[in-house]
Amino acid sequence: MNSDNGSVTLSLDRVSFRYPRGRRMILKDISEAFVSGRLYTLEGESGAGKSTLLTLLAGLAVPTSGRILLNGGDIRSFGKNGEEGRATPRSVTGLTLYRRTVAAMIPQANLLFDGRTVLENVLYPMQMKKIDPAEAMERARGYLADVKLPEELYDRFPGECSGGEQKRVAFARAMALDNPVILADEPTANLDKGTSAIVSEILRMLAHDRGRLVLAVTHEDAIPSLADERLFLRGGTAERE
Amino acid sequence: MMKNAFLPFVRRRRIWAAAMGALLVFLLSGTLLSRAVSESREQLNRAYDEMEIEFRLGPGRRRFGNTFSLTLYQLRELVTADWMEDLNARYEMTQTIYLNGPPPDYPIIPKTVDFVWVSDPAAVYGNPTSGEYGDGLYLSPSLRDEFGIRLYDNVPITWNVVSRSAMNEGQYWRKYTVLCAVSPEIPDNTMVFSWESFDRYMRDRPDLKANLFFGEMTFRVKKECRRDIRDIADFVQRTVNNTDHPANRNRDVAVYYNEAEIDAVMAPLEDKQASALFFEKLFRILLPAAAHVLETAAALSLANECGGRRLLGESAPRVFVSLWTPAAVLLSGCYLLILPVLGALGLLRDLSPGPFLLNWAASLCLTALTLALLCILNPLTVLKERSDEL
Repeated sequence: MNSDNGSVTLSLDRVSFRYPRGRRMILKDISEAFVSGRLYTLEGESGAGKSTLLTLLAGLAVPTSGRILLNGGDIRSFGKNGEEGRATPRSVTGLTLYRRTVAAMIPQANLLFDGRTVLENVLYPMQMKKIDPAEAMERARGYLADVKLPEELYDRFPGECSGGEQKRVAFARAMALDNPVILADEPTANLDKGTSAIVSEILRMLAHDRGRLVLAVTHEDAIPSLADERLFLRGGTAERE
Repeated sequence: MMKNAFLPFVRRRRIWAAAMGALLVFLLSGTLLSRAVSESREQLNRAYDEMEIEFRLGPGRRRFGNTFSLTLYQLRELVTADWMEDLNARYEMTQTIYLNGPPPDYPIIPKTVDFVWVSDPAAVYGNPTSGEYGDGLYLSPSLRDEFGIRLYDNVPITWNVVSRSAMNEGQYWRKYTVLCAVSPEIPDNTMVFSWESFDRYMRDRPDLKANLFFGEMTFRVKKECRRDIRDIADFVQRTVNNTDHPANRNRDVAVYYNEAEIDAVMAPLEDKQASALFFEKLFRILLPAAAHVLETAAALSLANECGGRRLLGESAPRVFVSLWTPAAVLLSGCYLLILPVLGALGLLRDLSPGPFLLNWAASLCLTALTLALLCILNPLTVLKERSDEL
């Protein structure tokens, strides 16, 4: 990461991908770059490889060929060159550390902890990073306020919240990681218009106000209208608008 | 800290409670079934212990007369059987035997005596006044004095063999035995032999070993072997009827025992035990399987927890340890909880430590395996369909 202003450049260097038992090459030789402070959308038909590309950028899978670079360094060896600035346990692989400190992903299924309240969900990343509890509590409430979640929901469990509310909790939790890259998979899918607008605004706010690199896979129109750049996946290759 | 560790389990308490409940039910019912089986076994053993079972060998119905015969081999099979108890048998014949006298001249003294084997000399001749009824020869005090034999002397006994074979006719056979007991209740014209000595002598008597005539023979079966009473009866029947002697007199030896009475008492008890055993076996497989399936399902309910934490950049080993440790504590607590419960119910002695520990290990291993898989798998592969991508 660029330690001066926290801005990052995340780039794909001739990335191709095929699932281990798959016959088809999902992504073919894609080279693109994304920078902090901008909101990108990734669009394309079903099966075009949008979620796959997001998965690769989140460090949840590795390309069949090519590299994903963070500020010029391969994310697979992230942390080995002191990017994290402190010693990390051996068991923590480069990609794990990358997810913890660089790329926060909001999957379509949200993956909220259903055994923890909304507030506890948002607190968890900060507990994981051993942030002072009082400060963590203050920040968690701030993130939840940022995503415009009513305070009365803080002590509820995710299962007791609506789909839109859960999505906002997932955003707040991702923000709590304080990572420079936010990756959202279909963040407005199955949401009503009002909630969809709120989520789109959160994405915009994260990119433009908080200086994060935001990349959202979407089918909807709400987000692209706010996007700085739109990327289309067709036949495994990417095209910018 | 502790609260945090158990948080995912508290929220999923229904499924974890179901898994714990299944475990308790399995352990409790397994023990109860064990108790049922051991009780039915005890009932059966008690019934066998209390039942008077006496075998009697006698002449078969087809034969006239009041004796039956056995070969020495058949007799040996019965006498040396490990289930034999309280054998009441006596074989007696009058023989002229030649005893070597005492040193220095060792004259051969012919004497006509009764040559006797009794299965229980103490019952027939009382306790000996000298020596004990061990392996050897027992005499009356006056016969001992007449021959001048001391206790534990090696006594050579020789007799003239009467045989169909001309070659053997008149041949003298000599054997040595030890005088090991003296009892005044033994008649003065009688030499009593232990089974071992009798067997040794008779082996060399081709004229006698084919047919030893008995009036009646009774015996019991040792308590611990009574459950095999039918097998023993079959064995006795086969043994006494099995002979290659041309006259095949043994064919007519009859084995009597109170079979119908035993069946009437034992059959219902044996049926009860068989069904207890069946259910025990069935539930010993089904109940642990159900409990372990529920445990696995409970562990699978932590998929979101595993996936979410991996997504947030927590390492797989850390997620595994932090989830499996409380799971192992819960499961182990359940296993340990059952011990005082069983103790209070008086069922602790029916708990088999082997299966108990095996199931405990299985519970820990299955949850460990499930959680390890959840931790190792890419979180998205667990939670997101990607079939459209393939």
